Amino acid sequence: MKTTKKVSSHVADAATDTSNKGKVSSFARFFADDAKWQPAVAVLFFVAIWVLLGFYESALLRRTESLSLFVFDTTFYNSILSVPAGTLSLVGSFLVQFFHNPALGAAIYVLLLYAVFRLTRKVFDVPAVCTLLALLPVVALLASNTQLGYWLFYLKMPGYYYMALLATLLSLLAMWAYKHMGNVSRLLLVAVWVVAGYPLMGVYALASSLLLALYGVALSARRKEKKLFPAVTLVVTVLLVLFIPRIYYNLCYNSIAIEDVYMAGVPVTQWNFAIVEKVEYLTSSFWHNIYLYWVPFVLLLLSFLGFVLSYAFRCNGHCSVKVTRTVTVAVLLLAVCFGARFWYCDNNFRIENKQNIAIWDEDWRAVADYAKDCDEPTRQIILNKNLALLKLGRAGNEMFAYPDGGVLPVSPLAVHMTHTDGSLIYYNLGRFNYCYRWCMENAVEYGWRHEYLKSAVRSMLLSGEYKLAERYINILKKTMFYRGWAREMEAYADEPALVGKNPALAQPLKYTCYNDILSVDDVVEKYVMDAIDANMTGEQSSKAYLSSLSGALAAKDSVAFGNSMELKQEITPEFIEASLVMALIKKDSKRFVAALNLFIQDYIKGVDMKDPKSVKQLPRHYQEALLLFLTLDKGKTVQVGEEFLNAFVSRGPGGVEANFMKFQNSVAKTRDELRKTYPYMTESRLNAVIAALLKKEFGNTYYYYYFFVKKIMTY
Amino acid sequence: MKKFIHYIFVLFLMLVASCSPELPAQYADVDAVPEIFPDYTGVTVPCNIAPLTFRIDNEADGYVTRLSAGDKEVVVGGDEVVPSFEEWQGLVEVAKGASIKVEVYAQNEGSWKRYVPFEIFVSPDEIDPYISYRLIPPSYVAYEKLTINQRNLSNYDEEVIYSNMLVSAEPQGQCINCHAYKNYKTDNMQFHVRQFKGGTIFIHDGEAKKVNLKTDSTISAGVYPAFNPKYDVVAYSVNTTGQVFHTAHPNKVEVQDTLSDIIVYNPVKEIVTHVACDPNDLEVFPTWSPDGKSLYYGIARVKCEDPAKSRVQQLIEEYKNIKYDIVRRSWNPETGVFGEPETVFAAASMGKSATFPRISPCGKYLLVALGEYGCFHIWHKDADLYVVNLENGDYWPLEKANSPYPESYHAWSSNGRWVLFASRRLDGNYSRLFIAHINEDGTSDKAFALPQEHAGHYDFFDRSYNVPEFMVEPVKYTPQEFAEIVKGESVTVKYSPNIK
Repeated sequence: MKTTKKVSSHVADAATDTSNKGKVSSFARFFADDAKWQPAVAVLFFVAIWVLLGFYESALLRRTESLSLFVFDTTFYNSILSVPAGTLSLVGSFLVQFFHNPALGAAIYVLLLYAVFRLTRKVFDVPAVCTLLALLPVVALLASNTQLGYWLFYLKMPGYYYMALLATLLSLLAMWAYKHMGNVSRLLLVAVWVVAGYPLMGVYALASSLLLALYGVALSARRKEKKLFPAVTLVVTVLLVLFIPRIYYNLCYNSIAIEDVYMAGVPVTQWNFAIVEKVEYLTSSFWHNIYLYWVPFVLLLLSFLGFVLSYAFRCNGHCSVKVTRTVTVAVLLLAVCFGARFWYCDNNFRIENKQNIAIWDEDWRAVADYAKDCDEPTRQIILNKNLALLKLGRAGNEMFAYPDGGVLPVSPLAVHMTHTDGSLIYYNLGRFNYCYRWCMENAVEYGWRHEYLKSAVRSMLLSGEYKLAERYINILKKTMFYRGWAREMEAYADEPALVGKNPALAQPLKYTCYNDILSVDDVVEKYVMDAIDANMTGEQSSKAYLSSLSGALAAKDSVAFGNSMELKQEITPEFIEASLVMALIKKDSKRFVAALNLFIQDYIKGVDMKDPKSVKQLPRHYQEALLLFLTLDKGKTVQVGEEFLNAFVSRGPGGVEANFMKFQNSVAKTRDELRKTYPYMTESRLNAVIAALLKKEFGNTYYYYYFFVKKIMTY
Repeated sequence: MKKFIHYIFVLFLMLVASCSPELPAQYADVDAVPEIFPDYTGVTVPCNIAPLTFRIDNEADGYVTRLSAGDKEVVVGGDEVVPSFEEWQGLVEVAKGASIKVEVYAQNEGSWKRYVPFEIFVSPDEIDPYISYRLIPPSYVAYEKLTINQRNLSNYDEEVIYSNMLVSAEPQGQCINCHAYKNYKTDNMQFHVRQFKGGTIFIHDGEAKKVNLKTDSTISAGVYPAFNPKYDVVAYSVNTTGQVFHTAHPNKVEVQDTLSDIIVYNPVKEIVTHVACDPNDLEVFPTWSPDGKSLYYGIARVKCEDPAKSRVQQLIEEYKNIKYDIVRRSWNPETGVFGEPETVFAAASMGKSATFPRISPCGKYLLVALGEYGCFHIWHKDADLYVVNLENGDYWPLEKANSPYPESYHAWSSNGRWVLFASRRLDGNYSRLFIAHINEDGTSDKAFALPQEHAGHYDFFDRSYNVPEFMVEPVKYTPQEFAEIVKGESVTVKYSPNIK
């Protein structure tokens, strides 16, 4: 306390000196007083963090919550408490729930961070001039979470978001108590802290007990007391830290390897695994290096070690206030830069999270709209977008009007869609068994989460496995934020006929017109395309309706038209359109024609054959694909007559056909010009330049996609 | 001060009295059996089983349940009926050979009703004191935490025998399976560890070792084991197994062997030899007769004649046509020679598939899981338990034990009066353990779910119980001791033409 007063008097002196010079604004006086401006800046810092988390990263917080679980159930508690640091994990899981409302969740999180800040100041008597240094552990704690990115899907530690924070808070409270104890009590506290703390907090109990013991040494140094007892305490602590985890391993824990007992509570095994495996998707970015995940934890430890040491060897007022203040501000700025650098800000990741929330909210317009906000999307974004357009009935006109391609997620992890939103894609395309499969597989690997439970409920409900759906409904009924949703689903499980009365819920059933087969899915997108194809190869799609329909149109023959109609009773229009979309993505003319054969039958339902003008033109991308394939395979696969094109394709000036001609001419012309200017340019480079030049004008067409969107990295 | 203590005591008594549930003085009888979970209505339990705990699922504002037998009575309040050990023991002691009557009263808007009382029959036949099982999520290919546990049946004590998390590191997972015992005792037992630090952990006469049962002459290390109850040999199937997934069928997964044979292992000489290895046959799930002189196993004849397709592809396409019979081969313990196979249950000829043969301790009955096709019936909703009378070939389903969901992984108790098995009936996906009383004539009484301390245990518990086995004593090694053995080097066995 003396130091604080000393430094404060320096501040007062400085303020007086300044006032003596005459005109000093209240603003300058405020900033001359460290006891005022530094806490104020700290408060601003916390408000900024709250805004950033609660609003800017609201989708991330909601996703974090949906990928966690807290159930008011004894069996659930026991399962989490069966490992060291289980209590932290359990309480952390409880608190993560509140991210369901991002503003509220962020407020709780930031308040706890603020408590760390205040306690750090109190425990270490941080002088007013370096108040902001107490933000260092806060930045480290924040960075340990904001750095995660796709780790969100892969972490096997429930409540991770709060574990380090809660452990830090508890440790600071212990230090505060320690400060006011005698030597014997301190020894007892440390012993209890290790013995009782290890099951509760794992490695955090070990690290904080060592800090406590060091803090004891620092206290004695500061108070100029005898150092023997603190030294004994330190030795005892080291011994306890070495042996207690092993004793627990032999007596209590069956779920942890002996090698991991000293790191229980941080996902060390997982991070090491990623290092050892050198997974195939490692990015080249230094900032996504797997080793860096440790840095926030190291900073956390170092910051407290720094506080302990400075507590022992504080300069007691002999330091220059100016220098101290400058150093404080510099360190804080560095810390803020560090925090910003460790904030995972990948735009695709953010869009995927927003899309996921919109999908659950059945807001398909938003799902599609989010896909416009990226430069080059991941395939997850494109699949979500195409799914949304299919649901909205806009796929044929819009699916290529969005950013296209397919980059891999920016992560040092091997991210697979099956682990992220694959099950949602499966569900919405009527692949309930595979949706359920990945809920189960992921639950096994990463633990049950709200999102998996909800997917399991819906997929089993639509599969007719009501007993199984009820199991998961009953679990969700014991959660804080999903009990209402669970009750709603329970009504459907109790009375399955109600499913049909909820169009949104029943919608995926329209994609279930396929036969059961045995198969294996490796890559979601590939599987979905192949699976839908597999059901389009039957007799219905093999007949050349396009050509027969051309004839029917030419002859104005309603009999031929009627014949073509009766063949598609089993396959739904939604399924057929999905297969059309898949065929376009695969750039497969045969599949496209097969699907178009069926699509067109539904499309011309109710058309008066004697009045060709009543025929609506096909959706734009289907026209584009038809014209493209007609040109490319010269009638081998696609056989349609002029009457067909006149009826279904926009052939006038400014129409699809004219635009396609313009595209062909532009490609040829640009190619010629480039060849003349750069005769030694490689073909692939040439194509890339043409693609870039024509993207603005033709980037929203199927033929542009067909020729220029390459290197699609699905995963 | 005295007065103060007196008041405290009175207050305490009042508190206790207010907590003790009382039967309603007035109530109306309703013509319905209460909905309880798990369903213990009309089940038969052994006299040395832990208290049955259950939850009442009928909506009500309050509940009182009365359990009575003879002059004994236990009254429990609340929707979770959890009698204490002492109360349960008192009831069972009186009800031995008879039944415990259970009356459930429910209160709605101030008025009480009583459901139709049900009975829990208490058999005087004791059950073995321990069981063991593997706990595994009902997943497809992923696995994380797997344990083999043992449970004391007379109470709720459960211990881990071995956990893969003790050894397995994240980069290389470790699967554990197929625990088996000789004569229900644990001085001769085994379980397998796959992948990381893989091998068979084998305890022979109390000494544990790790064994590598793979030889150049066999298609895999040992898989499904069967200890000969009389002699130092263990039969195994050796298998190449794969999994494929249904796109729509509720069975969800097909676990298929594409190759499988039967071998026997001599743990004294560290040798293995073939019993059956015809490439046109799939042989699996061996088991010995109680006298140790006959070996039973499942066998399916397969044809893979299309040279354009791989064997695996053909077997996947033909999965519905792979049907197993049960055969028996005599074994001469003196010479180690096996006789020719004789079919004891021709399931395939009936269009069915029988697997997992288990012979009753008296040697009279063969218990199998019977389904439409395949060998991995725990995923087949049509799979039921059937008993075959080995003396006359008659067979029948264990009607009171079966359900519309899969039943498999069955085991006889050492006295032959109880059958322990796994069934997915509670929710359709998680296999739970059930115990059925077997009568003299080979029929069963209604099976009951393994009782748990918390009535709602099965609601959230997210792992399946599989391959349950009876034991008369607990395993003596600790999980950590097993972990050290797993980390150590393994003994490699040699192939020999004769097991002797």
